[in-house]
Amino acid sequence: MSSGASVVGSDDRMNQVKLARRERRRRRRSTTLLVVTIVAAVVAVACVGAAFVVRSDTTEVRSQAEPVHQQLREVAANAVDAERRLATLREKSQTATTALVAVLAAFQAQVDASNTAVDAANQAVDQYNNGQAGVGDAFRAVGDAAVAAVVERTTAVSTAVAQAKTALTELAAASG
Amino acid sequence: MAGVAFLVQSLRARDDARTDLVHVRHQLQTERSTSSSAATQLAKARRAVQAIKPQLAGLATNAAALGKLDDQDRAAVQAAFQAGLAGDLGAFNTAVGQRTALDAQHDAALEELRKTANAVIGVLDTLRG
Repeated sequence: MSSGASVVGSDDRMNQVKLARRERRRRRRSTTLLVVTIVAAVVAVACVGAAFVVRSDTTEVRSQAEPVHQQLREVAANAVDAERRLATLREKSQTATTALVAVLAAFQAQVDASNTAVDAANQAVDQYNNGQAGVGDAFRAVGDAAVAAVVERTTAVSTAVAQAKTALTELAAASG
Repeated sequence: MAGVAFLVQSLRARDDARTDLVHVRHQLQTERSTSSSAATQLAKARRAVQAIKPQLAGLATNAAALGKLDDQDRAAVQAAFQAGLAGDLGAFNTAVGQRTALDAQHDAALEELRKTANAVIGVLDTLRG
């Protein structure tokens, strides 16, 4: 009987030891879990804190960039404006050059037409002087076309002069 | 995890902002150089045109004056032919004389205009490179 009681007592002790071990493991896990949780919380708080610091830094960097963006927009607008004005000035100078060339050509054409008309008139006078025709007939034969050419070229001069005047005025205005 | 993600996202945003700042500063330098070049060319072109402004005004005036001489020349030629058609050689000779009297003045004015116009055209050619 005493030996049986001793066996039972041994089993109880073993169970108690096992239970105690389980309890210790459970406590250890709980402790570990608590420590991990605390560390995680600390890390999370640190991360959030750091993130706010970084965000503040970001805001400062952006505030530095904003005036530079503004300057860039202004400088770009100025460059576009200068290029547009330069293009206009070049276009007006081209128009003025073309107009001047045209006006010189128109004057020369008028001179040529006038000289041709005078030559025709002199021929008519020669025919009359040589007795080849009456004076009126001699002029009638050569006159219409020659006078028409002079009138046409003189009108062309007026047109060319008006165009040149406009072109030169616009060029002067474009130069500011 | 959320805190780390928040931090990572914040770091990326800061990196983007720094990259943008560097980029925009570089762009500003480049744009200033371009703008300066355009402004310099414009100023040069404007100075060139400003320098010939008196000639431009003179050209318009002289061309108009020469145009009036051409009108007188046309009138004299027409008068000469009308006189010839009418058989009035006296009037013909008068008209031809009037036209001849214009010649020297007309030739001198045309030559002066041609010289000034060619000088101006030379300056304007340089504007267009």
